[in-house]
Amino acid sequence: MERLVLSVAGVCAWCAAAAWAQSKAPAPVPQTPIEQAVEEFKIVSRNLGLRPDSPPPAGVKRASRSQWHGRLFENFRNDFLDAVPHEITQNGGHKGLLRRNQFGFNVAGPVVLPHLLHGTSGTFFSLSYEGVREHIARAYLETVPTVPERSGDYSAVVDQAGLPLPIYDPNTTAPNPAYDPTQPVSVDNLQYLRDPFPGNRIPTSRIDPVAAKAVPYYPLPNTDIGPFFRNNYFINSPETNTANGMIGKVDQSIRVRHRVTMELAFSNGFQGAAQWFPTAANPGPADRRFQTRRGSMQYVFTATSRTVNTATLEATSSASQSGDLGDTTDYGQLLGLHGIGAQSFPYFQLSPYLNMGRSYPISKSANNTYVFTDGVSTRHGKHTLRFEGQYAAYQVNTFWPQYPAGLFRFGAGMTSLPGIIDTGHAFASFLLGLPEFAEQSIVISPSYFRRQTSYLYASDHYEVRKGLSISIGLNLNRSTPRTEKYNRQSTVDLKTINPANGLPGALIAAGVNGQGAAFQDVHNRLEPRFSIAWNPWNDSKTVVRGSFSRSYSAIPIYTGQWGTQGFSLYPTFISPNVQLQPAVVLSAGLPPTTGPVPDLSPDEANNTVADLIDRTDRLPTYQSASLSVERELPASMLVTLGAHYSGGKNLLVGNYAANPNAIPLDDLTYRDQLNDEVFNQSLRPYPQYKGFNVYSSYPLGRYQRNGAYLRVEKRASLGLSVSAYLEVSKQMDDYSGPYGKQDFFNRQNEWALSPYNVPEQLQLTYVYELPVGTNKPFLNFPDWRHYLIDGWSVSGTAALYSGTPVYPYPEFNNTGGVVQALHVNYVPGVDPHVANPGPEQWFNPAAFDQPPDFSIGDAPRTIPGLNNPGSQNFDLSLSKRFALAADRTVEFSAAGFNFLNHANWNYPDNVIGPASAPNVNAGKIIGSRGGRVIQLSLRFSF
Amino acid sequence: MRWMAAAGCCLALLAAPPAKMPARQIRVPVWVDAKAADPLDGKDLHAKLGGADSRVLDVKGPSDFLMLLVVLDVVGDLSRVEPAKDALVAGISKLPPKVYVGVLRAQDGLKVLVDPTADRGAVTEAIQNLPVSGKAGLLETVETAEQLGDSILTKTAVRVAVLYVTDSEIENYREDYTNPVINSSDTHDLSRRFPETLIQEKFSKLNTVLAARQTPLFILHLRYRNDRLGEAYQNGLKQAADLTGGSATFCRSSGEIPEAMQQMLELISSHYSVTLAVPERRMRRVQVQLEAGDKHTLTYRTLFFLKGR
Repeated sequence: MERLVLSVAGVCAWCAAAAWAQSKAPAPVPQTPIEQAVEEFKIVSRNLGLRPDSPPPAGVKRASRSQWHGRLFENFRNDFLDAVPHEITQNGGHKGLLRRNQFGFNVAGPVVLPHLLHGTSGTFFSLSYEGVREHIARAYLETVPTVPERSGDYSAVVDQAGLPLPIYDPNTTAPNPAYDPTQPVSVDNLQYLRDPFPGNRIPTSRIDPVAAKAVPYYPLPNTDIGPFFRNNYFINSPETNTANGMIGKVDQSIRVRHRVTMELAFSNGFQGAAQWFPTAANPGPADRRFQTRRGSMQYVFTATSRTVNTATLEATSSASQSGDLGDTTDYGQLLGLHGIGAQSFPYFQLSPYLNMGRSYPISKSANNTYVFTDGVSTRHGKHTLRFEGQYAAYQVNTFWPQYPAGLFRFGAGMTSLPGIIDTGHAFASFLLGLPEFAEQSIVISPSYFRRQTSYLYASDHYEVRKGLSISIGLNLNRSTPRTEKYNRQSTVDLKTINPANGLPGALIAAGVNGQGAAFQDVHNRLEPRFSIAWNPWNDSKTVVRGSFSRSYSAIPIYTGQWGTQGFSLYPTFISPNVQLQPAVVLSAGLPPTTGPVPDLSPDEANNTVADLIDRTDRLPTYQSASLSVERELPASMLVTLGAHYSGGKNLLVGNYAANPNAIPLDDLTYRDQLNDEVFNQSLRPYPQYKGFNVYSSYPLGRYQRNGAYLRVEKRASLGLSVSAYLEVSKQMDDYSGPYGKQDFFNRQNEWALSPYNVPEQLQLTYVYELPVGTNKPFLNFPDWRHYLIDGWSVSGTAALYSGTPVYPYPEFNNTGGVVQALHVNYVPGVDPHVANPGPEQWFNPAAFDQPPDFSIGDAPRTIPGLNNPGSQNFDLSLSKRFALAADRTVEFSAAGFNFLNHANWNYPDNVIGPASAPNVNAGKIIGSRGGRVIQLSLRFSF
Repeated sequence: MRWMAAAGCCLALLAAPPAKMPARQIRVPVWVDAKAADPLDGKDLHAKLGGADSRVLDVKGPSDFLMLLVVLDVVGDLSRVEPAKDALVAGISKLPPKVYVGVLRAQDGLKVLVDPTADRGAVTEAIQNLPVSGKAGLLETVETAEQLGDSILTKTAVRVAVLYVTDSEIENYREDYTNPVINSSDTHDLSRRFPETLIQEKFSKLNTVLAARQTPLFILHLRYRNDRLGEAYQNGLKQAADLTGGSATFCRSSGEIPEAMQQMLELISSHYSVTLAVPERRMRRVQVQLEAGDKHTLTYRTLFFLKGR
């Protein structure tokens, strides 16, 4: 047996030796190394499945599923990880509630369906899900009446200067026989006499029964930040967010030249808003439910290697609903306030105190968009041509009543000494039940707005020569105006004669009296674009870029029911004189509403703040230009120096910046006569209207922004990449508030620094993959230690912004309703800057003054060179990856947002009082905001 | 029977392959100073791997065969792709005849369009006829392309390089690396403040694989981006190319594509492939030191990560 084994071993060894010798024998045809390499290429590429003649891989189903990749993740935040926000600590709080879990998955790969698709058909999918469960505190600092004030005791109430604030009894009003009409109204020359309440206390018997029932719905002060009685109510209330969303995509290649991609996405969300106070009068935002659906299909046809056509069809629907539709409480009956709609608390405006109730308490809307786009790109010689067309249809279905339970606006006037500022108080007027304005929205039906846009675009990218290319594009943009499915639209037309007074300005309705379905024209606009890229001196390391473009934007449809006045009822009650006579008396309620609905008679909107749709041919117009030089430097660095300009005109503005029914400022000479509503209204260009509501759709704004920037990018080397961006800019405009325009007739007078203009900003982004561990230069351990060392990286951002301009605001506006947003006066010779700005004194308020009664301020809206505090933010993320297998990792990361726990100062108090009673807090900063937030994340990728 | 067994044993001993296996080798891509007059010679080279002396087994230089695997990954703007194709065709036509060019496409999976050949006409036709369509494929195909290159590099005595010409953007991949917003009502989401995380993770995995490869990877990207996602993606590409001893170039305008392409092809064709013996020990991380005396200034890949035997 032993011999036999030896024999077999010998034969085998001989055979093996012979075979080895055979393999070493010269080939019949000598091959060069490159021919061997080509043969090897063919064999390996065939085995890897890269050739048409490659055999199908074994175990197709398993192989396909193994190509699925994706991840599971959880992002976790909890207040025990965070610093208590500065604003909470400063206001006496100890905790900012935060419970947040964000979780989900993504999986993508070839489609495998048992018995149908085996993953080799060129069909791929991607599916992502994300869910959010969150409770997060919202913090605000507000002012509410003190306990004595709630019962009418104003004996301890002071103004912003700390001086006693007198409350006057409107029932004692009487003309002053000694009044000299040739002189301004003043304490020494009163037009009306009025007695202060004895002891500055409103007798309990005088408190309006509706107000008395409403006051318990109001919260008591819970803090004492001050100064005086202000900033006494700190809100630190949780908001609830729940959301679930999914995106699914499928794409299919059909013989290389055809590709179809489909995407479906949905998201449902619920936002349980923070309660500013826990009663039905809560003025904070209402609870909202969101729902978004999106579907799209894209077909790409590659006709030739130089011609590609892409067609896309997309449909989007987003719906939201706010308010508690299940609340059937009749608050009118509960409060004894007659004539208002049920199911929501009436809206009491009590500025400067927190309001009660809210606007739009219950609303529903659905926005649908359908877009079809087709574009073809083709290359001819040095030209790349592109032609594109798009048609888009927009629908907004909305039920959006603003004040279904009524708006009641209270001012100081009814409890003031008529004509004298710094007397009276809005809450005192409320206690007496005497609003200066009241309105109710009785909306019968929803609105179904429609609009379409389309464009045809052609462009040519032309390579003029080596290192020089230009692009020219021209877009023909067409937009149709808003229509309503059932023609339920109306507006005031400023040319139609009003039968009530024979003056221009009357209500017109869509589809009535020859009026078409829309109030505006179809707009066709040409939009040119041009850009150039040039490598000067044929130096590819330097690129000079320039661009110019001009564009127009169509007026959008908003989710409100503006422009349907004739089809709803908006009973409006205006005080004949806000200092003498209320619009209504709360205890008497609102008068019963009469008249048919719809009422499309030309005078239907008279004596209201009427909806006005602009009927001119103006469209918002934008143009921009830029020039930059990029230079590539050694060590993978790129430096870009650039300048840019952008400007616009006819930008859409709202009521704060557009008032076609404004009274000319020259009429301020009428002084106290202006408080008489009839006289006041008679001075307006359209005296049949109290005002116009243009709803952020009036094309009148103008802006210009100039900036220069430096960008430095350092691409990854040794694992570090850094990008820094520094910009200096200046933006001017004539509309952006923050409070509104002083002069509606001379827009140049409103040309000032934009309130949100940030003159300097520096942004820094960095990623550093630590050079340690496997595949890295240092600490490369083959043993267990590599689990600890591998896969560390640090990412961070830093952003530093200089302050926006200060916009001082006068405490009192005694202009008889002529001026909407009064500017302050400069005090000559007084520098608004202070030596070392800080929270105790950020700017010098003595540099500004309250303008005298019935005069405008001479300072601009925003003060050049006087800026609010800047802000800083530093985020940092530290990640550690654990490689479980070649394509499976677990990543743990801890991200610190504002990780330095830096507190950014709030803006200083910008209210400027009169010299006789200055705001003691003006120029000072109350508190700061911000706090470190930590998020821990765990992700498994496969 | 005894004599038969003895004869068999003798034959086996005579015919048996050498008992000692061939030394482990690495192929180091090397560039010499452009001013050097003489080509690099193996006799002039002194090599150390991980601090220990290493034998220079072979040196292949610009006068030797090169197999260039051009992988096209073009899915976007014709105004960038067509100049790139033209520049690639022009550049290839200038390459020496010993450069064999193979063409592959990466969109929708790696596929061979033309086997490596010295026939420039076939290569030109394949490049020009490739449609600009599909999904970006660089990230999904680069491992396979490098595997293909390595199998040739380790078995034959030619130089091999992989060149990707790509306009891929991270948004164009089938797999989702951009982490798009799914719940638009979630206003407190901070998870997307660092949007580059998924991209970094992908490259982290990819680089682990590429670090073990020896074929230099070159990437010519046709569209430079400086937003955070684009930056992270292009940083990753650069790291991947650097890791293999190759390089990545990003064109900021269509006008610079021809020159960038020419430079890239010159860089590839001018590279030396130096074969070094790895000392017989369990070496995974190999630090390479090469010197050529005063004759040449060398640029080369300094780190190799070998798989365990």
